[in-house]
Amino acid sequence: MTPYLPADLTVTVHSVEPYSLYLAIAGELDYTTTAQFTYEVNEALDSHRAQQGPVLKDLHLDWSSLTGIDSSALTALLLLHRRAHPEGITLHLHRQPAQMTRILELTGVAGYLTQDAPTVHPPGDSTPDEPTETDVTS
Amino acid sequence: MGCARCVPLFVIRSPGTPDRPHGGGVHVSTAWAEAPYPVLVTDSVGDVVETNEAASHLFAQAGEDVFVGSLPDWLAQAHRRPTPAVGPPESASGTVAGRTFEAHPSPGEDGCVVWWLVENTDLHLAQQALQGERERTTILADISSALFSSLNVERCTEVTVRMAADHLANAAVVVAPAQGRRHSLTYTQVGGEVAHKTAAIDPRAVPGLTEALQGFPPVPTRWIDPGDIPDWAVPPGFTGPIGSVIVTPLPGYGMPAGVLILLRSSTHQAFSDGEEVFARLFAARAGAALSAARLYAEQASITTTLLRELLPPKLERLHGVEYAGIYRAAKDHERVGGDFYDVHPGTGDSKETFVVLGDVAGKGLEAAVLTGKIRSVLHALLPLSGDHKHVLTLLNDALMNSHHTRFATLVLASVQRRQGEVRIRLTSAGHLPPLIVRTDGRVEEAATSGTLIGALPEIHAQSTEVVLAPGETCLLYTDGITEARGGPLGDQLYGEERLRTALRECVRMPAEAVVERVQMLASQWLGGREHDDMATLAITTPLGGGGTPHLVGEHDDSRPHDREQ
Amino acid sequence: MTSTTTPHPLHELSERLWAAAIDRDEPAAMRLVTAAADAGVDAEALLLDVVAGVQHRIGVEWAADRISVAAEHAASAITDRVLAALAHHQNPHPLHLRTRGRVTVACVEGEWHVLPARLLAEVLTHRGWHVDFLGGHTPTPHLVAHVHQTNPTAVLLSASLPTRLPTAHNAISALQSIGVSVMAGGAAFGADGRYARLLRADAWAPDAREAAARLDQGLTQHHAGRRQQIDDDLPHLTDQEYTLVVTRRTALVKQSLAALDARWPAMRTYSTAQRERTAEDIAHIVDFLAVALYVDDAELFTGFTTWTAGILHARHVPAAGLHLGLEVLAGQLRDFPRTLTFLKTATEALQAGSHHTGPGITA
Repeated sequence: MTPYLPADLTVTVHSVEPYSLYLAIAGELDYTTTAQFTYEVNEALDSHRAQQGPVLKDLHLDWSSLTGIDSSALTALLLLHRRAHPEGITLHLHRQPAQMTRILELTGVAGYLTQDAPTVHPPGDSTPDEPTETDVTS
Repeated sequence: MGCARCVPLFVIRSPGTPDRPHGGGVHVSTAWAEAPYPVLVTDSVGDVVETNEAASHLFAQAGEDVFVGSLPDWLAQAHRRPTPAVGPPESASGTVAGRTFEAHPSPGEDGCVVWWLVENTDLHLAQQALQGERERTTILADISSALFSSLNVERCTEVTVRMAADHLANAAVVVAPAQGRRHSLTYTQVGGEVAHKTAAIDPRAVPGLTEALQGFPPVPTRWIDPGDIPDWAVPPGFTGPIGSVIVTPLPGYGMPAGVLILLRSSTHQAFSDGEEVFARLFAARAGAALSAARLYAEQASITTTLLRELLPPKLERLHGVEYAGIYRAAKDHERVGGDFYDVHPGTGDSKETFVVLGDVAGKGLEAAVLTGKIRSVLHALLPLSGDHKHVLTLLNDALMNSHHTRFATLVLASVQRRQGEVRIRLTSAGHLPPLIVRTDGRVEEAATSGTLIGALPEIHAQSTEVVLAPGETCLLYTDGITEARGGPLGDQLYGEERLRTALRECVRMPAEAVVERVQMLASQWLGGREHDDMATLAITTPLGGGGTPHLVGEHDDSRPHDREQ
Repeated sequence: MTSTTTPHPLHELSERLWAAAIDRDEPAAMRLVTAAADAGVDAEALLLDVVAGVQHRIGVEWAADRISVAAEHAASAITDRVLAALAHHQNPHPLHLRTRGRVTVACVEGEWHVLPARLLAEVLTHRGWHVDFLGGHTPTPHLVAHVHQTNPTAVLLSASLPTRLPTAHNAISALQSIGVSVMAGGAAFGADGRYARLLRADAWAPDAREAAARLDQGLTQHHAGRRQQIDDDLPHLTDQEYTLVVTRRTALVKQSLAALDARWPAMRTYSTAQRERTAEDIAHIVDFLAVALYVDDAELFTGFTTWTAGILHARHVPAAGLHLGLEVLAGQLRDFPRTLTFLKTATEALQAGSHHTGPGITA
């Protein structure tokens, strides 16, 4: 008999480019894992910023390995949006399951989540007074 | 003397007295005669035929002449027991002159028996003391579990007086700290019922009571003159003599838990040593238990008061339309959570009833607090309830301007009865669209959609209007129902399709039955697994033509709802 | 409770109420009972002989497949509402006349058959008790908190489905450990109350009248702390079979479905919904098997199985599936000697063709 295992979530960094970051989310995104999702995605953003400077423009999330989702995923995505947009990062959702599409459409936030972020850092604009190595907390 | 001759055999063979005096070489008759142990020689019928000096002395102390009478009862009984075929004869034990002895027999010639009495008074006393100590420990353990098992002040007080009467006195009274000028008094007497009374008493009437009720500075237990106690301090119907009265404070957590008054028939004004310790432990435990119960009652009362506004309202029929709601919080020990609903009876000519059901992101008390806020805002916006979009925009603004990061999805419904049918204007703000159960068994999804509230600066909302014929129901529900995970295979979502299937069977059912059925099915689907908050609200056009299919001559609305829910 | 014991005038009323309930004519049902109450029909007889009688009949008619499940729900909903309305209509005992003390009436957590408990609450209220009716599906923590807050003389705990017995046991011991006496009632506890005794309830009553009479005699006050550990009540649980069957429930259902697939060609043509029904049926069998293990009574499981066979028979469904289901389960529970005995006994009873009166879901 298979022992019961709690639903699990993994966030994997697929590829890192100066202006784009690709993350793949696998497992369950539900009430028990949203905090972990938020933490890991923020970590990935912080680390990108630490390595590349505040130049990220596009965050791509690949959901093809997502096995389950509930409505609390919405909280996680809105929180992510709340952080990303002021930093000029646009969210892109790829291959999301039907249930996620349904939740986003039902709540009327689908377009809002993926709308273009305002331009904060034009490409090539590196501000010398902002030491990118340590600025990981914002 | 024939019997005396048998003694040497006995002395040599005796198994039970390792510290037997004198060795085998000593002349036997002298041996037992001078032994420091009392020795009796009995003949076959049990009469004492000879004793040594120690025995004579012992029995003289007891005021008994063993030569004339026969053996003490316990020894006579032992004497009559048949001698076992194998092994040593059985010894016996009993008391003589207030001392306890073990009597070791030895059969002699002609049916004589020689009894050596070995004193074990000290051992016996030690055993008795141990036994007493064990009993007290058991009683204290019993008392503790009885006292601490209930968090109800009344029951705790009952247990306290009953235990006090059982173990420390003939009757007992607990005087609780004053509530205003009145004190709650709890009485009992041995073998009697517990009685309660609340009275404005003067504590000064019992010496030491005032101080004990203040609890500080610590006051010792006091014996007072029975003549000094007022009538209210005596259990009703108590007729026993009062020899002494004891006033014992029951120490609480930082404040007095009450005072125990013990009435004893004995005029002796002191506890025995054992009682003293016992009484002190008892008072400490009773005081602690009463304090805990009082603390719990206060907390429960505060919680009840605070939660009252957050609890879902009890729904009923309004303006000829049935409303029923069931709310089940995510945690079984909680009563509130992130789901909510309200029904505001319509006023004015239109009598348009305003209904809201919603779901705040998150669970538990924190989410519940936001539901309270949303409900208040919506209540304030009632005059604008004709325009759902306007209401939602204002609510969104209010939530966006506050500092929390939570959002909510909700459905608004404006309900109006017109002749036989019910018209409902529905607007979903990012919430699952309501389901409409038609009389022909179809289940329709209301065509409304919109943005959730509290997350986006701008919102949109598309309203729809549905008409319910008699027996038709509009069900508003939260995703706790459809996201219930379980079923026979353990890991499936209940889902909208199963909900629709269930609703097909709810045609022409009362609103109450519809919500009960949906909650029951979701709950069975869960089968005890964890779940989110689950709310259901049914709006139903009653069957039976007229708007009042209720009781003939019924006064439903005016009758007080005196049954607790 | 059935029409055979109902005196003539009430028999007539029962028939009419039955007709109204089946017709989903709530207003007519309301008018019938209130008119009877106003005409001076004894309140208790109205509750227990008429309303409860009709509810009982609804269950019987459903089991015999003479009414649909939807009709059963709708009719039950109407008797429930009739009862609630009747209580309001009569309510002869305002608070100050409630001289007999305070009691709590509740259904065990997971128990949604509220009517028996509601009837009891009404009868006790009518007889002068101050009744706190907590309704159906009362979580044990709520019950305990309620007792702490209100200090009732006794808690009357209702359960209709035997599968609620483990939960009931937990509630009984929790309540007793805080010093309150518990009376158990409802079909779950057995027609003779054997499971109430097994789970150490302080009292048991077969119906509302008897419950009221037992309360009048007074229940022995429970000594808190004297309550044994819950597992002391049921020493047979040490074989772990109950626990293992419960924890493997999902796996058992999945494996049984797979086994049925392999052995029962008809299964392969089933729609998703039909497969789900079958899965639910297997889950139901596992649940009853588990509770039979809990109370260590093969008769409970046999009773359920033969009752199910009767239900299937009434619907012209061959019992072969049920047979096969038991066989498949036995195949998966080979290491469970007690379980295997239960399955064997039930299978033999099925073969003998006896029909049981049911595990008691009717009021």
